[in-house]
Amino acid sequence: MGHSPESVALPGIPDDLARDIDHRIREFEERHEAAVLADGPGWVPRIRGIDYAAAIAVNVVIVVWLVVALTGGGNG
Amino acid sequence: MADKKALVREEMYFNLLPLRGGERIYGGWDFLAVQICFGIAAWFFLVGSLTGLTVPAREALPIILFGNAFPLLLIAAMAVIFARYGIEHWQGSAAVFGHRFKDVWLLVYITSSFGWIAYASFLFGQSAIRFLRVFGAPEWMTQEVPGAIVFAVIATAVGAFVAFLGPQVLKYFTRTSAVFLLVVLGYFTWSVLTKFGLPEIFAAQPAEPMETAAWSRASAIEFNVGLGLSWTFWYGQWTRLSKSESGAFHGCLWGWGVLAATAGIFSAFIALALQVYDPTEWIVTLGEGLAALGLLLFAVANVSSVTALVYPMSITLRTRFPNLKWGLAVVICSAPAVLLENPTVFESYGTYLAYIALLTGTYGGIMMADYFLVSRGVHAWRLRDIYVADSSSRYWYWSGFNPAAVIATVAGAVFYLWTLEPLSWTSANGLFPYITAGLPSYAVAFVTYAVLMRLWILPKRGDELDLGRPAPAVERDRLTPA
Repeated sequence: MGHSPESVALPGIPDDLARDIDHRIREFEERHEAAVLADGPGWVPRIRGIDYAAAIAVNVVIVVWLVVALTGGGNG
Repeated sequence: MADKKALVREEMYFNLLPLRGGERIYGGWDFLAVQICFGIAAWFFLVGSLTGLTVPAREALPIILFGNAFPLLLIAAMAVIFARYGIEHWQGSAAVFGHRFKDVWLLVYITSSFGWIAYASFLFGQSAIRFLRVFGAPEWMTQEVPGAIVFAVIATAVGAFVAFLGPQVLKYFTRTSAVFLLVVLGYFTWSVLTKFGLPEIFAAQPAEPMETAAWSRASAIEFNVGLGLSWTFWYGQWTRLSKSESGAFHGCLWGWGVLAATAGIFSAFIALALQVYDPTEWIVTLGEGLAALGLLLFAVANVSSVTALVYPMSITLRTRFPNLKWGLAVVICSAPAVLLENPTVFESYGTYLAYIALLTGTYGGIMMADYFLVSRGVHAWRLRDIYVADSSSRYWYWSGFNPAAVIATVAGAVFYLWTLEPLSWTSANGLFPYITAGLPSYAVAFVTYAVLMRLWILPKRGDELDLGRPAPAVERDRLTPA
């Protein structure tokens, strides 16, 4: 296909779309890529550890409930 | 017609662009509401029924919550990835699977989703024939064959047509039907609790338990895990629209998981109280007026589910094949589902969920291993190479296939089938009653991919994958005098 790595190359996309994508990619590379490399944010604020902790905590409760239910007796 | 074409093209265009933060439309609460509406549908009602037919209420409740919440926890970071880069789900998957192997998975996504369309459509068909019985319609219309099949095909056609009409009609239609569904669910949950009583439901025994309690529990967990993992194919379509990674993470996790799963609890209660698979069987006993209204609303909800599936599938297919006509894309993404709309498939929902667990568990394990253990720091995704589908892209790997992802896919799938053969519902290695199959297959794919990438692919191609160097375009500009 003969594209350099700097240009967008997706099968069948219109030229105007390819140009717009390329523009967005350059914007990301210039403004956000360095931050992402350093485990920082991309286009939007990065997720925090507390988000994962909250999700894990609720699931621990559900798992404990499941274990209690399953060890409390069979289905006959 | 010209307006519709323009809108669809705009959607396809919009779908392929990496979205800036300022262009995102969903905050955290918006996301939660949207995902609840998208999540509550036929698939939750039927999986709740299957659970209620297999285990008692004391076990069914935590199994439904665990089976839908825990798999979503395992794949929840998928929401983060697409929010971070603002890219479409399958476009982004190329970074992990390679550009051509991603296309294989895209094909799997499209074809496996025909089942979801078929179940929503056939539940519409079941609703319709019971609705017509209330009004004394001709006998052929009130029988499962051909009545329910005919109405299921009509549901698919109507759902696909609404999808074809484009995004503006779609938004109006799905929002209206979501309100209907929430009203019906709230009223019927209250009705089932007051009519049968919570103590009686908890005392009821399941109608169709497996040969042992361990098999019943493992099977019930597997049904729900199949549904929980199934969302792994649907993240990027939504979360690239999120204003923050946290909003995307929590909206999908709770909307698709704990909150939407309440629909499953409703039908599990009905299955235990009346020992029926299809919750609409109970709705007809509520008297003519309420039955007609309830079944009509139920029917509308399932048609909206078909629309909510066909539209993103068609947009995704169109973004991969931009020259495909919109109408043809909609037909390709809906018509094959008709072949699955019959009583045999409808009664085999558990088998379908097992195959979905096989596919999505394997895919999800690979994606999450890449996020947590591979594409970190300097190895983070390179946006530009995701949009270069040829050998100059670092995500071309081996002729478009990432060998680590290929091997991990095979390992996860083989382990699943070794542990549970969905058609005969048997376990060759005998482990299924103790460990189930979907979650272990996720783990097998996760570990296999991570080990192969860290010990083989990254050391071999580490320089190419290393983002520590400036991107070519940035470097070129830096070196070019102003």
